[in-house]
Amino acid sequence: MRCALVFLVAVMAAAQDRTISSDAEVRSLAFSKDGNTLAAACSDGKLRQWDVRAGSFRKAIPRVNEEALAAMPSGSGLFAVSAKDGSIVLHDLETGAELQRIALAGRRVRELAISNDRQSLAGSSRVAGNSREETMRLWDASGKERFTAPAGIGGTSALAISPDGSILAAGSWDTNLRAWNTRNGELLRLIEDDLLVALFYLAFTPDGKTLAGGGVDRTVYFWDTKTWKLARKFSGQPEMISSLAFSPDGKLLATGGFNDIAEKHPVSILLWDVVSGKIVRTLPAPHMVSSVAFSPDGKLLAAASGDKMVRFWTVR
Amino acid sequence: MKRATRREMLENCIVRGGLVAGVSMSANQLLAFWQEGERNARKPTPSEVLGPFFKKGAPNASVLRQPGDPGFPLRVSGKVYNTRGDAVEGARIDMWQTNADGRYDTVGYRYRTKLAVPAGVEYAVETVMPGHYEDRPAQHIHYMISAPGHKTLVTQIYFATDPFFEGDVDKNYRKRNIAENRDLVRPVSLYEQGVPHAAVSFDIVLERA
Repeated sequence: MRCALVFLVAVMAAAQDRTISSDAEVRSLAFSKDGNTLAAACSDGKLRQWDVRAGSFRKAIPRVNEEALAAMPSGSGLFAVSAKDGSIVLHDLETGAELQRIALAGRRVRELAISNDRQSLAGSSRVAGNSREETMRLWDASGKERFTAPAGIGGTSALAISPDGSILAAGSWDTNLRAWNTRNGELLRLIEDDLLVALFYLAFTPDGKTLAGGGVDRTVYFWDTKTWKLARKFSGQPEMISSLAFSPDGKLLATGGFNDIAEKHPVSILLWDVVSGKIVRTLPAPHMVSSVAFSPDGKLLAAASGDKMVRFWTVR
Repeated sequence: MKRATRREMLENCIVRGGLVAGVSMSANQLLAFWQEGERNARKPTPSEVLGPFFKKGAPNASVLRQPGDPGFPLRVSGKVYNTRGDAVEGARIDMWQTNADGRYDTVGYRYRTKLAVPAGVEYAVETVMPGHYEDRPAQHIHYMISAPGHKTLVTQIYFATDPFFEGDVDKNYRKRNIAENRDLVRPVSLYEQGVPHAAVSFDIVLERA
C-alpha cells in the first residue's frame, strides 16, 4: 500500500504541468529575458512565441528560409539563422526584426552560438574539397571575422560560449573538445583523452567556472574552465544525452535523452541537483529531447522533444 | 632504404635539374615514366559524413564476427593507395558498423576495429552484413583512414544488394540523401566457405596532405 502511494506521488510529480501546442515540430526553445515569452524555432522555419503565463499563442515570425538553423541563447535576446545562401542573419528574439546580415563565402555555417553580451557569434563549416575537416569561425558585433581555427574532423557536434563571452567551446564528431579565447582565437585547450565518444550538447554553468557536456555515452562531463581538468561525471541517464541546461542559479541541471534506436522513441528528462549529483526528478518525453530551457526565475523547465508540443514543468 | 617510385624519381629529376641537364634519361624514358604515372593515378575516395557513433580506442582486430553472432557473414578487404597509385605506408583504418540488428555498440567495441595496415598489404575484416536502423535505413560501414603525409579520409561503404536500393543502385543511391557518391555503393559477391559468405572489395585512395 505504502509502495503504491509512493508510486502515485512519484507519477504525479513527474506529470507535466502543462503543454503548449504548436503548428509545427518544435526544435529549440528560449525564454525572453523577463520570462514572459517563450520562443521556439520550429521545423517549418518559423519562430513562434507564446505568453508563458497564459499559455496563449502570440505570433509566428517567418525566417529567411525553411532549412535554416538557429541558435537562441536566452541571455542574448537574439536568434541567428544560417541561411541557404551562406549568410548568417541575426534577428531580435522578441520582434523577429532582422538586425544584421553577415555574408560569407565558402560552405554554409552550421552549429551557431551567440554570446550573451552579443559581442561574439561563432559557427563552423567544412573546409573546401573532399576533406571532412572543420573550421571554426568567430565574428564580432560588427560582423567582422575575428578568427578562424581548425576544429577537428567530421563536423562540430556541440558549441557553446561562456556566460561572460570569453570562451568558445566546441565538441567535434571525432570526439575531441576544444576551447578558444574569443578575443584572440588562442586555443586554450584541446581535450583528446577524456572522451571516447562524441558530445551532442555543451553548456557552461551560469558562473562560467564549469563546462558541461553530454552525448553518446549517457554521461554528463564537467570540466573546470581554468585548469581544463575533468572535474566530475554524472551517470544515470538511461539514454544518450541530446540536450542540457543549467538553472539560472546553477543549482539544477536538466538533461534530455535520445534513444539510440531512433529519434522517435520515448526518452526521459532528468533533473539533477548539481551539488550532490543526485537525480531529483525524472520526467517523460515522447521523442528525442532537442532543447531544454529554464525560465529566468528558475521555476519553470520547458522541453522540446520532436513533436508539436512544448512541455512545461514547475521545478521549484 | 626505401625504394623510390618511378614518379618520385621523375619529381626528383625535376627538382634537381635532371630534366634540364638531360643526363639520366632519354625523352622516350621520360615519356614512359609519365605515361606509367598517368596509368597508375587514382581518384581520391569520396568522403562521407562521420556520423555520431565513432568511438576512439578500438582494438586492432580483423575478426569482428564472433561465433554465434546473428547476421550474414561478410568479408571486406582492399588496399590503401594515394592518388599517385603508390601504396601508402603507416595507414590506420578505423571501421565501425552496427550489428545485424542495426545497433551500434557504444559501451564496448563490438563491430569496431582500428587496423594498422603496412604498405602494399591488403586489409581484410571478417564481419557480418550491418543491420538497418530507423534513422539510417541503408546498410553501411563507416571508415576513418589516416596515414602520415596524407589527409585523413572519412567515408562509408554501402552494399548494392541492400533492399533499400530496390535493385537499381544507379537510380536509388541518393534516395533519402543516403549515399552521396555512387562509387561508395559496392558490388557484393557471394561465395561458399562452409556457409555462404558475402565479399566486398573496397580500395581506399588518400590525398596527400
